[in-house]
Amino acid sequence: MSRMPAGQYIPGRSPVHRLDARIKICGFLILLAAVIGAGSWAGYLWVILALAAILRISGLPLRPVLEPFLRLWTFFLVIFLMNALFFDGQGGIWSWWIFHLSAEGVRRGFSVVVHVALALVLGNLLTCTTAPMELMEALKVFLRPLKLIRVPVDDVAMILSVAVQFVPTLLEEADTVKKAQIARGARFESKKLTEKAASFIPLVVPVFIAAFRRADELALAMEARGYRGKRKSPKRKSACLQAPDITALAVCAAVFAVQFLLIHI
Amino acid sequence: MPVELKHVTCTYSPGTSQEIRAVTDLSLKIQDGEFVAVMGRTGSGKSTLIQLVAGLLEPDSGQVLLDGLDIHARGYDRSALRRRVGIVFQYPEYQLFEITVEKDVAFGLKHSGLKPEEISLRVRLALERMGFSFEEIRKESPLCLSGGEKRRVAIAGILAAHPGILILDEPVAGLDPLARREFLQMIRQFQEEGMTVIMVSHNADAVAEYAGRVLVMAEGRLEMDGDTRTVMSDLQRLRSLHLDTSAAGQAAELLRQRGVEIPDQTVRYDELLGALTEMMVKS
Repeated sequence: MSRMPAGQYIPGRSPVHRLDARIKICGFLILLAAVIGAGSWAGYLWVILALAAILRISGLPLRPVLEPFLRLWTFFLVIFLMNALFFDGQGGIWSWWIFHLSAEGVRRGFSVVVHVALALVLGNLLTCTTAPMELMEALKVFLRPLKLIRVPVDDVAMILSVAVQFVPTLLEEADTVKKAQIARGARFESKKLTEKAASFIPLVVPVFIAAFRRADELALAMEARGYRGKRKSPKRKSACLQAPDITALAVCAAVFAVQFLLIHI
Repeated sequence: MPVELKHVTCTYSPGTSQEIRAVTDLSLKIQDGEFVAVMGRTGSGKSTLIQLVAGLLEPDSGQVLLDGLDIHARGYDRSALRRRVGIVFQYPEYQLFEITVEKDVAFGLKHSGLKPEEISLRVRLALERMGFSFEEIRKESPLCLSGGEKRRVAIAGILAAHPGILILDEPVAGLDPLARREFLQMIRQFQEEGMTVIMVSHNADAVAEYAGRVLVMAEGRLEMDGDTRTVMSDLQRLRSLHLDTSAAGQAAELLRQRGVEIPDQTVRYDELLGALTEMMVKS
């Protein structure tokens, strides 16, 4: 695919890439709390600085990490306007019909947009630096307690990891089918909405069929190798945490602590 | 409709860590009515080459010319290009989607501006060409046919547009020997009727037997380019590129090593057979 979906794993060898996925998820949650907690200029500045520092260390190119923000600009604009125009019913600066522009509304709108945007960037930092399989393994560790209430964690994890593994394959398949249909005269660039929707049928039907075919083949291959849903999957020896992992977690906690102080002082 | 590539370079995911140079500074020209085989290992740039010719990939630098016109120039009629260049991808059966075979074959002609009668005539001819009885197959669901039938229906869908250039990516993969021979003979028939054929194949026997010219790709560059005899008889170079050589070519080499006088550049089965018969008659 010429255009990669945003947030896709970008292989690298930076310290951020090498961290244990479990630690990255913990750090992600702590930093997310710091982002959500930010409520003052100093608070915004602090998390932006922290994220910029991580981005710098991770050595990621700027575009894939910041791209979703650019793609979602209409979404951000709508949130901002909704807040700015409807927050204060009494109206502050300017009023017309049902619209009331207020200073408080503008402030609210700005803060919501900044929060969502920063959370998006943070999420991208996690997924861009962690291979999907590592993420799945880490999630499995965190989901383990659910076994106590009879949630089939292993099966869910297997389903998730198979799904994740199939994404690139299906994207590639979709790309080939699209090219094949274009080559025989399909048009995907129609302006009319109904025609546009109809033009996707030649793409969607073959990709769906391919997905089912692959699923069948995989199921057969798994059965042939003796996969039983119920049996305990061989436990992979989980790697011990290294010094950098602990440090990273401490840094995340420090970022959060500073944010906490900024809120309460 | 001669096709010409001029200093074409094409890169996947440029600017990221996964950047791949698919082809580098590629120049070549294919004349009308040629049967060109493209050989090369996986990742050597074969698929990129054929997609460039079909106008499905845009080069980063260089030009792709069809009839002397740059197909990526502003104002070039891209949809006419689609009808003039047909491309059969590997496993073309996976592109079928319509409710009936007839509709699927007609799909590519929907935007062609042809009259409905003309379209249905072309669909009938294309299907008959691929060995179907039109009346029997037209109402079948393409998804319920056998693998080989699906492939033939998919190719009929490409032939219905009457392309002047037909590009095939590994067309005989997964076909049994008889079906393979029938298929290749049909392709040769198209070529004899004036179509330009570009075929990607690993099958050295098929290449030696049917192609008139062979291009060998290695690491995004054109490693060898010449008539089939010259390229296919250079066994050492082909082997050093980890490519297959034709069975007849290998047999000729073995016989020569044992002192049997087989003419140079024997790469085809019938040539080898001819040379051997001649020798037996002489002795």
